[in-house]
This record gives sequence, C-alpha cells and structure tokens, in this order.
Amino acid sequence: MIKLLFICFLIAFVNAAQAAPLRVAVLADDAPPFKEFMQLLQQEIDRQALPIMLNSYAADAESADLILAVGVKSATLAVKTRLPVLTVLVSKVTADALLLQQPRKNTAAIYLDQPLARQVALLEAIFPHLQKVGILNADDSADRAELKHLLRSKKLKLLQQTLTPELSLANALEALLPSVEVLLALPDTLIYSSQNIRFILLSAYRNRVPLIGFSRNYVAAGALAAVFSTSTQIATQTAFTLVAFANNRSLMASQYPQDFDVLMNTQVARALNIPLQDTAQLKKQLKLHLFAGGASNE
Amino acid sequence: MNVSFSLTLLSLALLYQSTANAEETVPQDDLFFQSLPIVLTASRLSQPVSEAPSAMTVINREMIDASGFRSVPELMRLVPGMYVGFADANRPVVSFHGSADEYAHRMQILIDGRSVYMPPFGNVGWADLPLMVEDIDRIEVVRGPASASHGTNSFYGVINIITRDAMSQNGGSVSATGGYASDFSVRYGKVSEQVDFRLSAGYRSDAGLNNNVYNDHNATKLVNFRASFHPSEQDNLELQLGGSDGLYGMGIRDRVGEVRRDSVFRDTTSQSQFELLTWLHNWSDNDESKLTYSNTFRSAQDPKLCVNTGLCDQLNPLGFAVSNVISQRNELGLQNTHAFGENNRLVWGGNVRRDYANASLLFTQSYTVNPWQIFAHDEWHISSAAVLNIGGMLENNGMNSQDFSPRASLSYHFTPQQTVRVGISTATRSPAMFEAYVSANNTYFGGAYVPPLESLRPEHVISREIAYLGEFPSLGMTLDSRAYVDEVNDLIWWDKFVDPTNSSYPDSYKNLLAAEYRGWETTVKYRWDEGRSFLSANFVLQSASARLSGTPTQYNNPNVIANFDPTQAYGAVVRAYYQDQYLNQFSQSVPAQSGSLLWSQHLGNQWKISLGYYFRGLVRVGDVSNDVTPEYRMRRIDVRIAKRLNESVRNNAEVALVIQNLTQDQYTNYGTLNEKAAPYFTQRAWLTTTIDF
Repeated sequence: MIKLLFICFLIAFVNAAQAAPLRVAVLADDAPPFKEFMQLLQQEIDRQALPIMLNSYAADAESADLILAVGVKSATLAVKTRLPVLTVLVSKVTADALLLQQPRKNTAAIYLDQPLARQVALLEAIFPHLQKVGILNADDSADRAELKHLLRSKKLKLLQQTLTPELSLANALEALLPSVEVLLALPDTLIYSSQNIRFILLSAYRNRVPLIGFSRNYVAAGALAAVFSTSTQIATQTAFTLVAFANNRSLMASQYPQDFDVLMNTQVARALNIPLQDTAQLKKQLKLHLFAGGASNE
Repeated sequence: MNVSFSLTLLSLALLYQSTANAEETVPQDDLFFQSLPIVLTASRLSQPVSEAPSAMTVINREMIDASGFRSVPELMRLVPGMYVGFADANRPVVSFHGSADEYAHRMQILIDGRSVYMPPFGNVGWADLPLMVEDIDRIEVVRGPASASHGTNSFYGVINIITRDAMSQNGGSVSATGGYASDFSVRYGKVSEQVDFRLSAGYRSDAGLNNNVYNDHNATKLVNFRASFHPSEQDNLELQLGGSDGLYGMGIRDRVGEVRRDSVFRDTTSQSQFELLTWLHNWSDNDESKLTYSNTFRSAQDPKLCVNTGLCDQLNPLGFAVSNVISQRNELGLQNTHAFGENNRLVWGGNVRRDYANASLLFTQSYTVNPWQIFAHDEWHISSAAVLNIGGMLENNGMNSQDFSPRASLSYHFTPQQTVRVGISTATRSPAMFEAYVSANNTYFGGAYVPPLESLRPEHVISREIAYLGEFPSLGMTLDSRAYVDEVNDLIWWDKFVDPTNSSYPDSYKNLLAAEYRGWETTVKYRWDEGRSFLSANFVLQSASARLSGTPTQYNNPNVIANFDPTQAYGAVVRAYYQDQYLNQFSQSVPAQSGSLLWSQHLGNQWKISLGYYFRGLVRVGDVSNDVTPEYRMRRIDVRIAKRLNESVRNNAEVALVIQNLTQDQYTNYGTLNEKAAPYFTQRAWLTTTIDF
C-alpha cells in the first residue's frame, strides 16, 4: 500500500519535472556496500526513467546541483563544500555529529538506522508481556533519554549497564542479563564488534535472553530478530528525495528510512520458546503502529 | 576547468584527511554492514521442552546452586523418577526406574557429548569423574529411551551434562569449603578474539556417609581445561582435557563375630583422564557439520580385593589380591544438521568406537569391542501447531548383534502455551563386557560368577507416553505431566546357581526377565520476584512388575542337592529363589511415590535462601535379597543460606552454608547386606566461600 503511494508520488514528480536533468555529484568510496547501493540507485533511476544524472564527484563537481554523499567518509568531505548535500548510509548519530562540526544549510540525510520508536514497536510486537528491556553502553556519553522516555510511555522499564575500566563486558552481561527479558543492541563499536558478538550472543542465550539486533547479519548470527532497511529500500527513498529536490530545489528534512524489513531467526525463537510470527505481518504491525502516532522521526 | 581541477585536488586531499578522522571518531556505521559469525548454530540451540521428542528435565545453574549439592548423582534427586542411592559414598547408584544393581547399566551418561558409561562393568565412575560441579552449565536429563538422538545405551534415559563454554569464564574465581566436606577450587578463563579458554583445578574430599559402618572417606584431585579456537567465521575448534586422581576408602564394618569379604578396610585409588576434540563447521546455508574425537581412560586399583570368600572370612592373606581394572574408550563421530527450509531439520551421522578393558581378576585376556552406529533424526514443524519428531539408530554392538531403534513423537500445541505430546520410543542395551566375557576362573567377585552358557543378546525397551505441557505466563508457572508405560524385554539377569558341580554355586547372566514400568510424573515450576525466586516441584507415582521371559539354566533340574535343601530338587530351589527374591519383590524395585521440591528465595540483593525437600517411598533395588532391610522411606530436607558480600558486580564474593538432612530424617541407604543397608544418612553441614576476581 505504502509502496504504491510512493510510486504514485514518484510518477507525479517525474511528470512535473523539468526537461533538464538533475546533476548529482556522487561521493562514495569503494566499500562493497556503497558500490552495491550506487548500483541499486542507478537501477532505480533507470527503471523509473527519472531525470537524474549521477556522475562521480571528481568528474562533475563544478556543474553539479547537489552532492550525494554515501557513507561517513564521503559525508565528512561533502559538508565542507558549498553545494547542497544529501547524505545516505550514515547513522543518525554520525550525521548529527557531522553537522555539529560543520554547521550549514541545505544538508539532509537519509539515516542508516531505524527510529527508536520502530525498534520499540518491534519489541512490543514480539513480546506482548514485556516488562524489562536491557541495553549495554560503552561509556556514559550515550544519551538514552529518548529511549527511556519511549519505553516509559509503553510502561516498559529500561535497564542499562555501562562498561567501565573496572567492569568488563563479561561482568556487565552477568549483571544485566539475569534481570532483563530482552537485550536490545544499539550500535556501538566498543560493544558490538565482531569479536564481542560471539560472547554476547552466547551469554545471552545461556541466560535465555533474546537479542534484538540491527542488521540482517545479526539475525543470521543468532539474534532473535532485527528491523533494518535494505540497500534497495534506501536507494528507492534516495531516488524519491532527489526527485523532490529537482522539483523545488530544496532538500526535505533528514529522515529515517521509510521502508524496512523485519527478520526473525526461527531456530532461535523455537529454542527460546518464543512464539513465531510472520515477519510480513510484523512489518505491517510496525507500520500501523507508526501511523498511529508512535513515530518519532527526529 | 582550473577551478574544477583544484576542487578535485582539494576533495582528494580532504578525503584522505577525513578518512583518518572518520575512523577515529565515527566508525560505528560500519557495524551495520559487518559480517558476523554464526554464533547460535543449530547444535547449540536446544529444542524447547514443549517440542522435544521425549520427556526432559533441565537442571540449570541456578538449580545447581540452590540445591547445595556437590556431585552429579545427588543433583539427580531433582529429576522426577530418578533413583539415587549410595552403596557407599564413593559408589553412587543412579538409575531411572529404580531397578538396578550397583552398576546401574541402563542409562547413557554424556559429558559434552562424550560417553562416560565405561567398560568393563558398563557403569560410570561417578566418584573420580574429571568434572567439577562448578563447571557445569546445565544437565539435560531425558526420561525415557532416546537412542535416535543420544545413541547407544540410552535405555531408560540419558543424563546429558553440558559444561560451561570456554568463553563463560573471563577472569578468575577461588572457592573453598570447610566442615563436613573439604573442597578447594581455582578457576580461570580468558576470552579473546580467536581463542577462549578456561582452566579449573580442584580438590574434593569428605568423610563419607557414616564412618561407624563404612570406610568411605574420599579425596579427589581434579583438573579440567577447555579451549575454543575460531580460525574463521565458519569454523570453531574446541579442545577439552581433563584428569582426576583419587583415593577412596573401601570396606564395611562387620557384625560382631562375623567376618565378610567386604570388611577389610583399605584405600582404593583411581585415575581418569580424557581428551575431546571438536570441529564445528558452518556451511553457508546455516547447515553444519560436527566432527568429534574423544579418548577416555580410567584405571582403578584395589590393593586388597577379596578373591576367595572362604579364605577372606578367615582373614587369610591368601584370600586377597591386588586388583587393577583399566578401561579405555576411543570414539570418532560425525554429526550433520541440514535444514529443509524453516520447518524441517534433519540431524544425521554416525560414529565408530573402540572399547577396551583389561582386568586380570575378571578376564583371562584384555577385550576390545568395536561398535558402530548410524543415526538420523528429523524434526518437522508440520504446521505452527504440530511438531513431528521421527528418527532411528542402527547399531552394530561389536558383539555380533545389530539392532535398529526407531522413535516417533508428535507434539501438538492446542494453543501456543498448551501442548500435548504422544510418543513411542525404543532402545537397546548391549551386554556389558563383564556380563558377556567374565572368565570361568575369575576371582573378581570372589568366584561368584561364571561365563554365560549361551551368548547374551541386547536388552530391548519400548516406551509409550502421553504428556501435557502447559505454560501460564501470567501466573509465572509451567506444568509438565506425563504418563508412560515402558516394556522391557530380554533383561540380562542373574542366572542363579548355574553350575551345580561347582561347590560355591556361582551365578551367571542370561536374558531372562521381561518387566513393565508404569508411571505418572508431574513437574510444576513457579517463578516470582521478577524471576529471581523460584520453586520447582516434582511428584511421581510408579509401579513395576516382572515375569520370566527366558528359562534360568537350572530351572528344571530334577536332581536333589543336599547343600540347598535335601528334600527338594535343585530346580525347585532355583524356581523358589526366582519367585521369592526377584519376581515377588520386583514391585518394590521402584518407590510407589517419590518427589522433590526446590525452593529458592532472594531476600534483598545480598541474601538468598533455598530449601530442598526430597521424599521417596520404600524401595528395594534389584540385587538385594529379601532378608535385607529395604531402603526406608526418605523425607529429607536440605537448606542453603548464601550471602553476597560485595555489592559491586565485579569482585563478587559469596559465603554459603549448606545443611543436609536438617531434620535428621532416619532413612536408610542402598545396600546388599543388612550392615550396609541399615545405617542412617546423618546430618551434615559445610560452609563455602567463593571469590571472583
């Protein structure tokens, strides 16, 4: 339904678009996920015959209407120019930090991560009787006020354990896991590194606490579920945002990914005796939930 | 053009500079794209009890702690229907369905998948098992035959002990116990990117059961090492090593004016060691293969074993000899897990084994048996409500017998929380080496046994059950109840007075008995206080009956033998023996009622109190004659009070006091002689301090 609306919008924009195509200078390094994203975006533009021309920044910096910065490195660079910048595949924390360093107008991002409200909605959908949610913090700097507020509004309790030089990850997990029903992974390199994930997942499983991850790979590794947006979904949204810019020459506000997927690890759910749910149904539930005013995009 | 060129240069320069910056300040976005190893692989994930093909009891870490028990046999008191007895402190007898002799052959015992059910007696050396209770993560006990999933000898059930992962210990821990028991242990572990390991070393000792009657003090030194190495995201290599060296008192005090073969007080010794190597590989589509190799070795010495009852009774030194029993098992196994979509999972594989035993007082030569088996087990979620488990094992027991043991069960979830399971399961037990190969001139049992006259066949069991499992999350309660009928055939039993020409009238073994066990087992678990406090209660009703399915060798012997009863034929004496000693008493081989209750309560953040109540009706185990006191009913209460000394998460310290048999219940113990059977289990207490660093 939403996708359909989306396409209708796109078509409307295409029709309204001027004959001159939008010149987009792309800043992206060669990391595989970025390359894949660019291919998907080009495909989307071709499929819809959108009046958008993608050129590499190095080739077309001069006459570009806008810079599309893919990933952190490119975004860091792009915000130092004077052109409007659309940043993609960057998390909200990173994007906000960049703009704090380099305050400027005419910049927007399509975040990589999911709005907290959506993640909380997933928790609610999977665990109807949930009471206590646990998270790990690498240090005191993390601001969990929004999450706390969100959970409180759902009558859920947030239990946090923060690593300190004295409190190792093992100790933190030992302290946290026995008193929570679910562990919500929030991206933090000091905690969710690929070497730690083995330890975290096994400790959580030993305590029969499911982990909610933030990428598809988490679900394969042993997380119970994750809500995430695929590169295709973000590419579609990017194309849409570019068309909108072509029409009124101004960027929409930064936004979270609109379309997303929910994945659940069947085997883990069975082992933890958690009722299996149809992921398409879960997705629908999450969308409805957000429409019903649960959304908090900023 | 110029401007463009300089911009490009600028951008490249900036790009270079910002690359360095970005990695320092904001690298976390990479987490969204990072590839991860498959951590919770199929073999790590256990089936939930509501979908498992057999009845299962899980004793987890918190139950182990709350019980205060120091050994696996005692922990088995928490399993509904499990018989736990002690021939003496060093010879525990653990068996499902009560009926057992001292060796309790009819269960499989696995530690991390490695069988410790050892030749030549087909038993477990519980006392010197190189395993520390502190290292156990959980014990999964399958109540019922489970050859299809747990392999050979999973006859009445399986005790599957799972030790803590190498990575579960990051840092050190010291524990010391004083009081009735003197235990000491040090544990240390380290977790790193490619290698995790844990090392435990300890000492365990106590005075035994009742030193007025037994000489059963014991002291065991233990060491255990587990390392896990992950060379790639798809592979995990694991090495486990362990050893034990122990000293175990032996001997039972005589009645006044009487000397018995068991009465000489002496110290026996035994050593155990094992190596277990596991290679786990995950295929790209979440299938996995697991290759394991294990070596288990045990050596036991008795410096003064009675080999001639007549001479022993006169305390003649010639009646005694030094006994050495050496046993070894090597096993190579492969297990594959393959998923056919989301709802069907097949586990299949096979293994080859080499069982070796050398016991000069028992056998004329050392024996090696080479069994193999192949198995397949399929778990199929037919719909969201129905789970079908179907499987089987084909085994060649290395003793000229090949058997197939199938199993099938259907679990139906009437609601996601209410499940009914119906199942049928079979298993075989191969004769133990000593049953099959005991030499004609053996002296190990004082000359009381001779070789079987005809070759022994495996025993067979078929179990039928219906179970209900209910979860009541709003009450914090789960209920697990099942009724079963287990039919056992070809039980290898004592072939009494098999040789009339031998003046000591020795016995032998033969497939003689058919038995039937019926029972109703219920487990209720209740949690409160945000899940921190719990109560776990079991209640069991059971009955047993037996009949002869074969004919004892001398059953119809018409000759009259003066020594027994000059007025009766030999065969009539044998017939009367079977009727009086076995068949009439068989119903007593299981307690009509038994159960346990474990309650654990947190008081604030520092105190934890737990209480165990264990009860059992009268029971008389298989090889106890009818003039020996049966085990009286048991009503035992154990209590544990623990206090955490440090509020901080790190450097946790705990002091715990355990008192066993708080109310001094006067229950008796396993025993084949009145002197052995009569002593009470006295009250005992100890204090344990544990410090993590």
